Amino acid sequence: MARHQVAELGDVPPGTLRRVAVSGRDLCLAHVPDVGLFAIDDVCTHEHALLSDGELIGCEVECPEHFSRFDLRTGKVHSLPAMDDTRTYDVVVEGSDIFVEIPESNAETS
Amino acid sequence: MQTVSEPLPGDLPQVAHRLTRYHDVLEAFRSPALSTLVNDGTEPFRGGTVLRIEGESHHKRRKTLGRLLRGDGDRWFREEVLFPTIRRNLDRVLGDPGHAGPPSVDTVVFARQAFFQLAASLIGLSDVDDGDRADELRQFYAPVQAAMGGWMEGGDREARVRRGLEVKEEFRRRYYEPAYAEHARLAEAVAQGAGSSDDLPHDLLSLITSGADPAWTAEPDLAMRESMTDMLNAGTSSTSATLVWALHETLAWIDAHPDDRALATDATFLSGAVQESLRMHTTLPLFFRTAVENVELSSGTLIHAGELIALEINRANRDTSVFGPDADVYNPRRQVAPGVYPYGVAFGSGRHMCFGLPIVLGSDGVNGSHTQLLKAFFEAGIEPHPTEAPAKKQETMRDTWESYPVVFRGRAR
Repeated sequence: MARHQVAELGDVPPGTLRRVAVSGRDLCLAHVPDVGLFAIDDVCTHEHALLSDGELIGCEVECPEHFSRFDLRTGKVHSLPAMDDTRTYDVVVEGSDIFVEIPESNAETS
Repeated sequence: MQTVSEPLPGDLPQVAHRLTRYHDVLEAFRSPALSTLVNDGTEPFRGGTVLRIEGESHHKRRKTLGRLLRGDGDRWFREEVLFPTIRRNLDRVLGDPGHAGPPSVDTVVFARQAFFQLAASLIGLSDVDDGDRADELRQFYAPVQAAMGGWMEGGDREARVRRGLEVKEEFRRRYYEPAYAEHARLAEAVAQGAGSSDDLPHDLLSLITSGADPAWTAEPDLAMRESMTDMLNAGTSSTSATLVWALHETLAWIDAHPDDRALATDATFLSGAVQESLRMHTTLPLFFRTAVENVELSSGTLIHAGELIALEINRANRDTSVFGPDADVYNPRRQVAPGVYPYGVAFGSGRHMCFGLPIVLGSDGVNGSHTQLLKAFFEAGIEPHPTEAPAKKQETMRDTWESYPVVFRGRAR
């Protein structure tokens, strides 16, 4: 597992989404108020739309184009038209730095 | 065969390519180089609306319109609008003693009345919440829908557009402006600090009068076109036709498979029936796209900049390489490969994909408008009318029903 510093806490206030790029991968970083930070693949599994441009609704992120929703904790898709789950990544906060952990085997590939 | 080279039938425009395979059509829908701008004579109704714009302005408009169905929007729609409308309309039919015999109705009219009520609610039009007013609007609006039919409808297109424009102006006076004025008053009150935007009606006119899109504010006619095109036309035409097809196919299925009769009130089974009906009976058989730059599809089809192409939905949805050798056979239990949509490309795809999917199918794929309407029909004991046969609509490329009479014989058996 490779740990990557992707942002600082001030970059992602509670209730917001932010797109971050790490190891050739675009991630959607989400700060759910009173719950924590989450990271998932930024591109919707339905079609090419950026989830970081969507809406944060509870612990779900909603695609801005077709309104598919994904659970930030599990990556499970909760509403059509997307049919495939998305990938989640562990997030670690140290001080004011936000790190995302990416499996070594995936770090430079997909 | 990836494309068809012979001309489209009738007096449809000549196209460089006719895409008939599922994956070609899907790819074409998703290509940013294939634009929705086509010169089909419907610009006075569709020009500048979210269906006909591209790029960043489209992205922003779509997000704005998405507020109507965002988050729990489909649940709100289901519980606050859909269920009461179904209950009200069905009670009206079942409570009408009419002539001797069981209650009866033409489901084509029933469906269109219901969806006019639902669409009017999403727009924010006033006083369209009962069957009579909805039917009045349905009949009044018919010339606009005929004009928006563009290349799909037969007859004199120029005359249809002229008549449609007359009705458009009358629509403005009778329906749009009174509702707009009321919403503007509410939005102004919120702007002055009397309440919050959460107090405004959950509808398109609240978005428009709140200035959610500067283009609507700058061009009031565009705001009305958005209402007429995206909601009142798209929300009532194909949606109601699909409901009747799904009913027809479900009646035929349980007639041929009596053991499945009990499933006619099962939402999961009915959802399969709806999605299979959408696949097999897409009421808009062709979509057109104009290439704004050269495009080569994965299949090798090369589309040159400026060329007009046709996306053949019904053929794509019966692509045997995707849906199997029985693609032409209705099967509400059809299983499709991962990544294939059970409803095919009935909702289109890409940035202009139909807004109606969460309404029709429900965000959970089960509890959409069509499943709930069918469930209510079968719980009321719907059967084909014993003496009045259904009839198909003529003089149109759309495969839809002109009438579909039924009777209700009480609780489902």
